[in-house]
Amino acid sequence: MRLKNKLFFPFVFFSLAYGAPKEFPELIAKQANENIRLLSSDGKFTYYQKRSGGLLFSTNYKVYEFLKSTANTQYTLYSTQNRKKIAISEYNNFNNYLSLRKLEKIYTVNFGEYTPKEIGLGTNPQLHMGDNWISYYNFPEKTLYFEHTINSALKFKIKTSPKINPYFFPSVVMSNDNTIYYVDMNTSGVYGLLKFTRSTSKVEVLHSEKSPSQKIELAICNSKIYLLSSGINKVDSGTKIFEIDPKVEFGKLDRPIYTSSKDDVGQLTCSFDQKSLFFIKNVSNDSINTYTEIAEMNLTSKEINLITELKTVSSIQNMDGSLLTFDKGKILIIKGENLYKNVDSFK
Amino acid sequence: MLHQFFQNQFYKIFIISILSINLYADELKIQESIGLLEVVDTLQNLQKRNYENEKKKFLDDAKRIELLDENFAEIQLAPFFKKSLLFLSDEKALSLIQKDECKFLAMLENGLLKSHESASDIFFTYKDKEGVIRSAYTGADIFFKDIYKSQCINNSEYRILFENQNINKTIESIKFPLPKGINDCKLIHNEWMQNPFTPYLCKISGIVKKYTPLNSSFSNIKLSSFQKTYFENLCFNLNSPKAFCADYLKNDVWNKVLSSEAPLYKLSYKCKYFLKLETEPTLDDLKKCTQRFLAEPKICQTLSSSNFPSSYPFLNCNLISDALVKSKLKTNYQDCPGGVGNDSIVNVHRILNHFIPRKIPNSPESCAGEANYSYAKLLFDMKYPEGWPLEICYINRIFNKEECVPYIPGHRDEEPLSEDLVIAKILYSQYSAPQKTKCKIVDSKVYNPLRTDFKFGCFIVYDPNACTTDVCDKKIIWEEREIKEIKYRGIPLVDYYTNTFSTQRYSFTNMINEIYGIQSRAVKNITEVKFFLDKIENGIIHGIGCIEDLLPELYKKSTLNQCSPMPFIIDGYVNREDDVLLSTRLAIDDIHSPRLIMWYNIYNSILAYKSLHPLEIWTLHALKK
Repeated sequence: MRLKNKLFFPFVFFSLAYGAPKEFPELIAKQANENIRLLSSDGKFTYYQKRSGGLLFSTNYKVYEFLKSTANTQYTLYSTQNRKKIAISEYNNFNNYLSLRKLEKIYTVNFGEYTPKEIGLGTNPQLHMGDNWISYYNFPEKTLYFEHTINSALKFKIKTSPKINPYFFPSVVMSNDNTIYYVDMNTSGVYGLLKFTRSTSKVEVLHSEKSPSQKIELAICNSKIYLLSSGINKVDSGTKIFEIDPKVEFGKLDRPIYTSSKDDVGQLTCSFDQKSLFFIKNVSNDSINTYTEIAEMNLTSKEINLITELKTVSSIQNMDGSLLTFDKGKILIIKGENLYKNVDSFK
Repeated sequence: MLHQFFQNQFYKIFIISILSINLYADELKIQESIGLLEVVDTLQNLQKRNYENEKKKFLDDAKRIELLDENFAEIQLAPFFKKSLLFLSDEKALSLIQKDECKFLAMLENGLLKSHESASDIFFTYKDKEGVIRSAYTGADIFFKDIYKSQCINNSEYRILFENQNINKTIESIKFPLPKGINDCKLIHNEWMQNPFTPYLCKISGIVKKYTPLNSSFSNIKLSSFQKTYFENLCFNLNSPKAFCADYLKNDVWNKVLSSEAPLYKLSYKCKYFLKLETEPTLDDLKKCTQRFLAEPKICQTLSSSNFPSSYPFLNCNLISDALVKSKLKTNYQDCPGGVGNDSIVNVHRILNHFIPRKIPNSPESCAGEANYSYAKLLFDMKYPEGWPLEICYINRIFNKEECVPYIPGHRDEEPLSEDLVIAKILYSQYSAPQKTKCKIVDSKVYNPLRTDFKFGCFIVYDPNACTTDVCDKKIIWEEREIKEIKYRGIPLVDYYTNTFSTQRYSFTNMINEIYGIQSRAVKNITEVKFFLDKIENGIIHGIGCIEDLLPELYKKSTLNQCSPMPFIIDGYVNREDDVLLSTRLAIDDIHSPRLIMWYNIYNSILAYKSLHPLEIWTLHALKK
C-alpha cells in the first residue's frame, strides 16, 4: 500500500511503500547454500565449490571440477544479464591471509560452461559491454586492468592516483569500447568521476565531490550511467542519484533524479530487464543509527518503492536475474522465482 | 577573572570591614573619589598596618614557647592573627573551614591559610595554671605537634597518615568517586567538604605551591594523573560545587582526558596531528585541540598522519568521542594497517598490546614491522618458529646453493631476526662486509645516492606508499651497489581462529591462552556483548566478519557468498534510542579512530563468514586476562 507520493524534484516522482511486513522465501537448493556460487535462473546448472579447493560445474547429474586449488580457497562468481561470460576470482588462503588488498587469480568462463581462462591477478572483477570486456583492480599496482574476453590481445590499463586510503578501489563502467567512466580518489581522499578515452589514453575529471566524506558509486543500465553520491561515516550530508547519458556531452551534475536527506548505503544494482535500479536506502529517523531497506527505482517514471521491510539490509545480490539479500544468516529471494530446488534436475 | 576577583575581595571586605570599619573610617574619609581597586589596596594596607600594630602590642606581653605542655590550657589563636588569616586567605579555603575549629587548624597546618607572617610562627593565647590568660608564640612545628594532644586529637592521626612514609598507602585507601549527574556531583562535593582529609589532600595538590608550605614537602608521593587532576579540581573549587562538577559532567572524551578521567592517548595522538607537532602536546595544546574538536567536529573526519596509512576518512569528532568514551582498548601507540599485508596481524598486534603492553616506537619506518614482530614473537614464545614464513634468501657462495633465514620486518636493536641485522649478517658472511656493518631502512624518497650520507654502508630502500610487509620491491644497497641476489620470500599466514583440527594448537586464540593466559569465549548476542563489556574491566571482544556486511556503504556484496573476511575489535558500546552502537576498530582502521557500528551489521558479518569457515565456527569472542 502506498502511503505517500512526494514530488522531490521537478520530473522526479518518489514514493515509499509501507504495509504489512513482507516475507521473502529463503534460498533453498540441493547444494548447501554456502557452497553455491551461481545458480542459473532456468534451473539448468549450478556452480559450486568444495572446501578442498575445487570449483565445480554441475548439470544434468554430471559434475565437472574445472578449477582446483588448495584447501581454504574461496571462489566468487560474477555474471550479468548478458549471460555470455562469468568472471571468477580465486582467493587462496581465504581463512588465514585476511586482506582486502589480496591478489586473487581472475578467470573467465563461458556462461553455462566449464572451461576457464586465466586473465590476471587482482580483485573485484567486473564484466562490461555485453560481457565482451572484463576489468579488475590490482591493489599493489593501483591499476585497473581491462581485457577483451574473446580476443585477449585487446587489453589496456588505467593507472589510478596515489591514495590516502590504501583500501580504496574504483567503481567502473564502460559505455562503449572506447570510453570508461570510473571513480577515483585523489591524494586528499576526495572522490571524483573520471573519463578515460582508450583511443587517446586521455583522462578527464568530470566531477569531484566537495569532501572526502562523500562517496561516488556507478552503475550502467540500459546504456545510461547512474551515479550515486552519498555521505559516508554518518556525516548526514544526504544522497543524490544522477542519470548520465554518455552520448550527450557531460554537463554539470545539477539535476538529480533522486534526492534524500539521509546517507543511503547505495550499492546500485541494475535489474536484468534494465528497467529498474535497486539500491539500499537509509530509512532511519536518526542520523547515527542506520536502518536500511532495498529501494527499487523505475527508470522510466523515476518512482521509488521500498521492496523490503527488514530494517537491516546490507546487500543486494543479483544472481542471474534473481535479487537476493543476506539477512541474519539467511539468503532471501527478494525478486525472482524460487525454483532452485529444481536446479540440476534431469531435463 | 576580574569579576571573580572583585566578588572574592568584596566578600572578604564585607566581613572584615564590619570588624574593622570603625578603626579605618577616619582614614578612608581622607581620600576622595577613589576607585574599586584603590579601595581594595587601601583596605589591605590598612589591615596590614593594623596587624603590625596589634602584633606589636601582642608581642609586648608574649613570650616565645618551645614546648606546649599541660601548663597551657584553652589555647586559642591570637585574635589579630586569626583576623589576618581570614582577611588574606582565599575564599575557597575559608569555605572549607565551615565553623570547624579542627579543620581550621588543619588548614593552617597545611599552609592553606595565608597571613602577613613570612616566618612560620603561630601567635596564640592560653590560660596558665592560675587561670590567667597569657600571650605566646611558637614555631608551627611545635604548635601543631603539641596542640593536638589537647585539642582536635584526630588531627594528630591525620598528620601521621599523611606523613611521607604513609602517604601513598593513605591515598590508595581513599576513594575518588566520579559523579553520574549534577545532584550526585553536588553530594560528592559536599562529602569532600566534610571530609577531614581534604585539607591534607589540598596540600598535596599543586594548589599549595601558591602558599608557603608550613610542613615539609612530600618527596616520595606517587599520584596518578587522575588523582592529581582530581585534587586540583577539588581544591581549586572548594567554594564552588558547580565549578567542581563542570569538568566531570562533560561527556566528551576530550574533556575527560583533560580531567584525567580518560587516558591521555585518546586525545594526544589526534592533537599532535592536528597541531602538526613534532613533540608531545602540552596541556595548553590539548586544551586548544579540545576547544577546536568541540567547535568543529568535522576536523576529525580527515585528521590523520599520512605516514601511518589506514582506511580513510573517519567519523566526526563527536562520534569518535562517543566511541572513545566507552572504548577500553589500550592504544598508546600509532600503528599503520596500510603497511601490513595480512589484516589479521594488525588485530593480533592490537590485542597483544592491550593485554601485555610493550613500549612501541611510533615511527613510520617501524610501525608495520612492529605489528609483524608482535605476531612473530608470539610464535617464537610458543616455540613454533616454523609458523613464521618470512625469509631472506641468498646464494651461499661457498656451497653455491640458495639458503634462507627467517627475518622480522623492520629494525629492532636487540632482536637478532630484525631485517636490518639479518641483511647485515648476510653481507658479512657472503659479501666481505665488515662484521660491524649496520643496515639502515630508508624511504625511497629520502635515499639519494649522490649524498655522502648514502655513499658508504648498507641501505634497505623501500617505497612506503607502494609497500606492505608482504608485497614490497625492496632494494638492498651495499657500498652504492644493489645486491640483487638477496631476496625476500613468504607471506605470513595466521590461523586466527582454528581453521583445521590438526593445527588447532597454533591458532592465535589458542596460543594467547596457552602463553599469556588470555581466555576466550564465544559471545552470540548483544546481551552477552553488553554484559561482558560492562563486567570485565579490561575485557574486549574480537571477531572476524565479512566486510561487505560490516561496511556495506563502502564494500558491495554483489554476488552470492561474496566475502572479504575482516578482523575487528569491539571495546565498548553506546546505547542509542532502541539500538546499540558498538565501538569498533576494523583491522584496516586507524587505531585512534574507532567506528560506531550497529549490532545487526556485526551479527550479519559473523554469520556470513561463519557459513564460509571450514569448521563453521562462531567468530565473535570475548577476551579477558
